[in-house]
Amino acid sequence: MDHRWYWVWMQEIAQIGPKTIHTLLEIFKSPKEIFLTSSEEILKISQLTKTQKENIIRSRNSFSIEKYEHWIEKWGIELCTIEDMDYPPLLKNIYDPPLVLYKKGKSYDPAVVCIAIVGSRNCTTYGKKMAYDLAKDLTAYGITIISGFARGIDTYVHQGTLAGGGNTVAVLGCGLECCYPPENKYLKNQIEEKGMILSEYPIGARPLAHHFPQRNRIISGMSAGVIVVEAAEKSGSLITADLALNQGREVFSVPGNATSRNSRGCNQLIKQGCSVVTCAEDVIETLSFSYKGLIKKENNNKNLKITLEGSEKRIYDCILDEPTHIEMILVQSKMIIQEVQSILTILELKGIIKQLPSKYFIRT
Amino acid sequence: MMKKVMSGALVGIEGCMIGVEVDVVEGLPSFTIVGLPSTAIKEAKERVRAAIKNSGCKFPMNRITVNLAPAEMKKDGAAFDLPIAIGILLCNGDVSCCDIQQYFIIGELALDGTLRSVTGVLPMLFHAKEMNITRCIVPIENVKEAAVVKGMDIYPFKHLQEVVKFLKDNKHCMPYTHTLSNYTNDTRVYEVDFEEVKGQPLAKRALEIAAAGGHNVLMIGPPGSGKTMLAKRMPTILPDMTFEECVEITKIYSITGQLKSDLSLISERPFRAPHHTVSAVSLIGGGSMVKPGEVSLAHNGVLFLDELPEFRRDALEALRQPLEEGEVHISRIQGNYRFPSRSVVIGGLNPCPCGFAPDENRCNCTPKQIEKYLQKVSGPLIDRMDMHIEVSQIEYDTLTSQIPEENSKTIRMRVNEARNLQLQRYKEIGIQNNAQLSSAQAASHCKLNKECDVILRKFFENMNMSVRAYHRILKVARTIADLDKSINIEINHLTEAIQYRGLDRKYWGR
Repeated sequence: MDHRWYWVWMQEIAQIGPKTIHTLLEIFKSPKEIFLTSSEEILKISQLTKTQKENIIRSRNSFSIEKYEHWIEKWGIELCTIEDMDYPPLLKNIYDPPLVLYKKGKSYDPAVVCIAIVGSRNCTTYGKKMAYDLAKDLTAYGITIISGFARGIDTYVHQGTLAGGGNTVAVLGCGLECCYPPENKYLKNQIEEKGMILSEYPIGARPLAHHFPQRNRIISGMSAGVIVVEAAEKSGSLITADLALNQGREVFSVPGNATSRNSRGCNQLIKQGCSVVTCAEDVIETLSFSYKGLIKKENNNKNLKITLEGSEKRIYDCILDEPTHIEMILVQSKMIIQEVQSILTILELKGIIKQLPSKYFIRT
Repeated sequence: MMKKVMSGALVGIEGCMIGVEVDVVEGLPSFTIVGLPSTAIKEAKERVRAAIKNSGCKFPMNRITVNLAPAEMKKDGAAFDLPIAIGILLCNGDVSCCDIQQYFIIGELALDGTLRSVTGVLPMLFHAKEMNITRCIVPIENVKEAAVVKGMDIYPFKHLQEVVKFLKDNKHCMPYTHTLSNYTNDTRVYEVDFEEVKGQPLAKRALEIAAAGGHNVLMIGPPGSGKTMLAKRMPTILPDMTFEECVEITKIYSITGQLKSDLSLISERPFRAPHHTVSAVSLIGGGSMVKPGEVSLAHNGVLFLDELPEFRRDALEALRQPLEEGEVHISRIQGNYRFPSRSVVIGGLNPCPCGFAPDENRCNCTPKQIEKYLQKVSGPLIDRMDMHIEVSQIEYDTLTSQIPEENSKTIRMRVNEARNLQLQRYKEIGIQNNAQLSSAQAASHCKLNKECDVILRKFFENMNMSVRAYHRILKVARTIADLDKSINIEINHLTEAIQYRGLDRKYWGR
């Protein structure tokens, strides 16, 4: 048996946590030796509980490599154990690194700097914009963006990274064959093509509630820093931020409106002294102390100025950087509704404004 | 001795002739009604007997058989009381009339002989007129409705005694005359008016377009934003009705018994707002004795479905065919019934289950919840909605402002002009407005010039619009051009039309 399979076996034993694994490895040096030790020896280990010992013995008998080989072939996934060269180097150093990662997608360059961007599922237009823009801008520095593939902020982070042509890693809380949330099917395919999906759970694992906080340690563990975009008072994103602090990572927070319920967690983090992020450059500045060579790849076609005239300009001037309602535009421009509607469409087509639900407009 | 009296019944919205044949022969006293009568008709025996006695005539103690011909058709209602009574009296010799078959007779009898009003007088008289019967005897309460039929001599009565007297000395009274001069629009009085709606310029403009082109509308907005208020005022800006349209509506209201007796012809466009617990049958029409439903009662007017996602799924799905064809078809063993249902449908819905999206401080709904809520309204139904209006909560200042708003009459004048252009344009293809254009017709009547085509193409590519939006945008653009009295669809018409397709944009969780 290839020695990598012993790691897979060890990860799958029930009720064996990181602490027990640490103890076991101190006694036996490698998982192979544990697997080959006789049952009598294992029962003698004083540090383990009775159930743990029984689980070890039972799982040795039921473990089948064929099952995993079948999965690897069927779903096109790869194994990556903690010993492998392509195991994320930063992740190795955390308190409880996963022994095996299942992954699918483009191969991973361990030397690239990773940043995690996380936030709440239930996000606002502001959060959405910040997540998307930060991800997009950071990819311009050649940074890989990690997120959790959940609804809301996570989804926009992945989308922003892909839009910026960057590399993104999605860490799932279920098996790689499962698409959770199901509406992100298209996004998942895109990430598999242009980035990577990753999970510590084997094929067939359901997206159970307790998987997600567990998965958060991988998100923060892989990255040099974690940006929290929008988080309510009790949010999973704050767990990720806590984990990141414990793992010695940088934590950044995107400030929100003081009255906004969705940003309370972020604002709380700032009060506690976490760095404030309003643009990608803020992150780069902090990281450049420890990581060299973060240089922005210039995008040539960025400075396309569109010149507006007459009534188009008049309407464009009424639209602000925050969502502006059509009636506001109507009052300020002193034009009639027909004209305003028609010009708004033209401005939208020019790509300089965007329509939001309920007839709000925003500059892009 | 056998006598025949002409009366009528209803098949769907149309009337049909029923011959009431009464035969009185010597024998044991009995009273039988045959010809598939309903219970209400069978009970006519008791009413007729009492009414004849109480009118001072003698009820024959003989064997009486009444047949309602054609015999295979099921009949319902109390309208045969009077013809049966007259038939018996004719056989009895109390009344003699040589040209009784020249009279169309309907009416319900009270026990004391008083005549009561019946439903469906208008369609029945129209049919009688077609069958060349030019005189009719109706209860006095139905007289105004009956007077709509031109060229018909109407003899209204209060009591059976009067009918007997009239038939006895034949033509001692003149037929009722009623001038129909003022059915039309100057007298259209609505209790509501658009000038009462403060603010909401966007929704008002959209409803004006919808009225001009007959487009169905979906209004999305938080509770209390004025969706119902706006919808209620929609009939007031719809174009003026033609006489034929008035008659169609009056017929429907007549057969459902919802016509007021002081009204001859309904000249106001109906507004129907069924509650969201409505069943498919009461929405579409049906029942064992087939009756029109809410869609037909809203014919030529407005059908407002507030809280659209709360409606029963089957009721909404059943709405699809009537919306498409402008007609409801109901099949029963006795026959097929058709009710017209060409109305403007206005659907009202909240943007999310709690109603406050996208106000992030008040809305707690998750994107998934919102998606689920909006998906309750099926795609095919949304397909039939030409315009989507997003209505927003208005500010306190607007609510209390003293600036006068435009009244319905002014708006209606513009709508009338636009609708006349459409009537002229579509004279040959037999439709009345832009909304009724089929996809193929839309392609030929709503041609876009090159510039417009470029814009629309660009919009479809950039904005993730669904294909179904294409023809809707064309039709709405055509209406906007009509309001502008423009022969061609110009850029500003098209770009405005694009703004009324909010739900096609992907942000609404679709």
